[in-house]
Amino acid sequence: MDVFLFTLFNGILYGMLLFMLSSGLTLIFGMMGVLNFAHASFYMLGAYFAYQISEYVGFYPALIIAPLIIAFLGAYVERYGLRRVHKFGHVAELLFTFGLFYIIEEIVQMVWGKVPVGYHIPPSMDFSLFNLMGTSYPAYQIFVLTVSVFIFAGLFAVLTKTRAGLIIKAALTHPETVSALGHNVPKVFMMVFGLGCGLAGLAGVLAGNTLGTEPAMAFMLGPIVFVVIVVGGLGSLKGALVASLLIGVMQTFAVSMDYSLNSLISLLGFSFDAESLWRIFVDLTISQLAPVLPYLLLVVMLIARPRGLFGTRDV
Amino acid sequence: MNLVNSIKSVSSWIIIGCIAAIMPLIFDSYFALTLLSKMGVLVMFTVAYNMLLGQGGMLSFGHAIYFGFAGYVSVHILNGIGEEFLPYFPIVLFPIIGAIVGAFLGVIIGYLSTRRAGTAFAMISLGFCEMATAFTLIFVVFFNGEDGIQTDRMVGPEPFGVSFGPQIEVYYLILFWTLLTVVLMYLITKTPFGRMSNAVRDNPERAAFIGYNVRHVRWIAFTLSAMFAGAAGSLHAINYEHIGFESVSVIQSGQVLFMAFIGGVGHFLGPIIGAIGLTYLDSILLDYTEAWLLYLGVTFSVIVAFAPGGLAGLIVMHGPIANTNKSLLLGLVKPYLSAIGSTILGVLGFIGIIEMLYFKSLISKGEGEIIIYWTEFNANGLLSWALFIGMIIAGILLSKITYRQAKESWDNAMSVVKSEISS
Amino acid sequence: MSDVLKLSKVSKSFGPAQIIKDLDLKIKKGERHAIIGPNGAGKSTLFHLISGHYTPTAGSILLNDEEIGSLDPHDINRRGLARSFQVTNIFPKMTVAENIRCGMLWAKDYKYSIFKIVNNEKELTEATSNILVELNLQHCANIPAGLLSYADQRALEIGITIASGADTIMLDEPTAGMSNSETARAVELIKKISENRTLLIVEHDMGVVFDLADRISVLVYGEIICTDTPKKVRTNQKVQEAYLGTEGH
Repeated sequence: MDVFLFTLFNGILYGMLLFMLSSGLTLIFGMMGVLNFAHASFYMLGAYFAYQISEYVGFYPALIIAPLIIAFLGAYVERYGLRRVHKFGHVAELLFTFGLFYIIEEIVQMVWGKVPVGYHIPPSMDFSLFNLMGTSYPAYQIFVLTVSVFIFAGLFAVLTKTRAGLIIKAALTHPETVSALGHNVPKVFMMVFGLGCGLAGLAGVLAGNTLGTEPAMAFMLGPIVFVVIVVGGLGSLKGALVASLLIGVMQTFAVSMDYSLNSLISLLGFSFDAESLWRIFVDLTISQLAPVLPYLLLVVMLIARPRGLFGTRDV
Repeated sequence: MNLVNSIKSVSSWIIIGCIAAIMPLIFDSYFALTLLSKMGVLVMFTVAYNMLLGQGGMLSFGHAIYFGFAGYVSVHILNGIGEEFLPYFPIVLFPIIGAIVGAFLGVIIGYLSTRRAGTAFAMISLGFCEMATAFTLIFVVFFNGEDGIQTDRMVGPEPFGVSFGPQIEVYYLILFWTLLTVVLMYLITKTPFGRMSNAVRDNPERAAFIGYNVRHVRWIAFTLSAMFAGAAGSLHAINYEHIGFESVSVIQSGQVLFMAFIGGVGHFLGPIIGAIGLTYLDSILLDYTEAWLLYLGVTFSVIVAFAPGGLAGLIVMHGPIANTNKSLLLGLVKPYLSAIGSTILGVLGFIGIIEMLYFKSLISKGEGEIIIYWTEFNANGLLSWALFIGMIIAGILLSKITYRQAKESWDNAMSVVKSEISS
Repeated sequence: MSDVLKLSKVSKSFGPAQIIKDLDLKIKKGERHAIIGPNGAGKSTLFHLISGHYTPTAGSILLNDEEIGSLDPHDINRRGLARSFQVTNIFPKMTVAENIRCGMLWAKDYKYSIFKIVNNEKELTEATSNILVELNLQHCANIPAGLLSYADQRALEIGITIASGADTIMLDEPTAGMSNSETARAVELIKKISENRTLLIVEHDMGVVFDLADRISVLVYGEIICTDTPKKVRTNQKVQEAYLGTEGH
């Protein structure tokens, strides 16, 4: 039972991390039609910036400063890069961010090297918060969970209560009509792009010290974030939240499960010819399959419900 | 007139084939041979990819799936023949196996992903590619994990004394198939399907209202493209006698995207230019610089932002001018050269800075001597930094002037062309 | 005369807004039928419903006695109904001749063929140049369609629509945005192409409508209030109140 609880907890934590990335991505996609391939690169930059900044001033200032820098960086990319490409269409924007993905990865390697950097949990939070049936739970995880919950409460409040949020929501559903209302749409786009990148950066700050800060980290998470926003439904924040938690919990549980088809067969009282070719399938454990699960979910979704969980249009 | 045109196009293909055929006689080192073989395979792959991106308007981040899986199947069949539990199958016909594998996967994955084009399609293709890569690492029995699978292409009888042991024989095998498939793919662009593929790319709504099922057009384009990519994958496996998971991955898919796009997706020759050029640079520069991928990414982004037609697009752009008045073209040479010169100055400075940064952070252990452009610089000395930064600044300042001049002369030339067309 | 197109009790709603309400409409074979109505009456929605762009919320649409309400646009097109668009909708990168040729590929049974070279098909080339002559566009056959003048693009739009040889043609405001002389030319073209065909046309220019149409239906707020010959529509009391009256402001 305790194992189950802890796994669930870790799954939710991973899900929240995914949501911090996918919320920005799906917001940008829904409003501007821009699919930002380099979104996870900003997540990586967040981790590296936090590492560098905390070397000088400590973790807590870095927690604030790094995402802010990333947000400005994102806004800058939108203003001077994407906006120029905009006239060639959404595919060109995607291609531009694809190039950017390569550039950021190479620059990170140039500045910080090809091996992971020593970005660690701050000592003030490196203790176990509570023990549950003999297993301890690290305080930092709880901290991350708290921060992410606050962020989403904040995001939700901004979107529903403020004027800017209303414009964003209007732009999500009717992008062409918002400019008719007299709002400076390019500026709103730039701010949303910056906000999305900032959120990705914050995710990097929070996760970089537990998941590892290395040049490949953008590449490991990026495609999963894409799966999240397709499964959740393109442009749907609610869908992104549900899909993030779903994939987070699913993958975390899968990793911890050492069952294979063979265990099921033997449980039913049969034995299986160990020499046959089918062995490769029956011996495959669920934990081995964990990396493909999000993509399998994507395929199932495409067949069963092409518009995603909460989407309004087919993909 | 039709006859003249077809003779023209047939003869230009023959000339290209002849040039490619005598290449190994001029450059006969082992390095040149392997490079030429690689170029052949990648030309085939890139042109196949462009059936999807350029002709059909579908951006895929997962086209290596068909290339790589066809390679795996080919390697297994080669090994099966070698261990004599599979009957002999001529090596010459292996690309057909690859084509079947590619088409089979293309039918399935294409069905699932061609409902829409655009960014959603691109995202789904990435998902499929990640899944394929994960599978290659999970099903060790078939894919052998990160090591990949070795094979030996010298199996079975040797018809006409051709064993495909020597690289030169493999080169001609690749050349034969590349020419054949590229010509086939060229012809496909001229068929009713090819036309409708373009129509669906440009205006799917209208295409539906003239009787075409837009999804079927995309699906067929997807399958054909996967089929030719599979054939290229087979040749890739035979060429290297090895296939690994990276051939299925996003890295490989990204490489083919870079080649097609930098070469130019709007013109049939674009991907060929891109594949040959980038393969060459890739193999040459890897020895000289750590930052090759950075330069590639920057080049790609600059092309996306400023010349979305790629290199071929820049050339084709001048077609109307050349058709109206050749002397106009000559008038462009000088402003172009000065614009290119100032660009090169800035680029050289940029490369110098990047190289020194890489050197300082990754290679040097406190030492300062670095060789850039066959010259020794001191990465710790202020002078080298000042020199390169100066070059960048000078390049930018000069570009401001020369670009304006180049644009003015281009506009002038185009206005002459327009007035001559309308009169 | 039989009915080519028969709409009965057709409705279309977008969320709470009902744009088309229990609409009945019969188009006779070979007639030129115009639909007029004030802005926002639902004329374009009606066109989208018939051509398969939208699916009706309720009701049935019969084309030659076959239900087409739930079919996709390409299926409806294959059954002999072609349409043009209010906003020019051509293939701008292709040449003018290519545009026409694409329009006739399916009807001439080329389907998805990858074994024929388009330019070598004599019959196709001839049919294309015939249509180009009809449109008076033969001089710019090899120019990218995007470079044509607006009026020529509108003509090309009609050309793509008739290229398939469909029996039933729907034109959505074919003369919108044209000068007087251009409109006169367009009307001549429409008269020429609608011989031996059934024509359904939405048009704002009353001159064009009364010149062309055999019968007129008046659509107001999603309902057809009157279908009759031009002469009788002109004098119809309800039409004058609901439509011509408001137009006079």
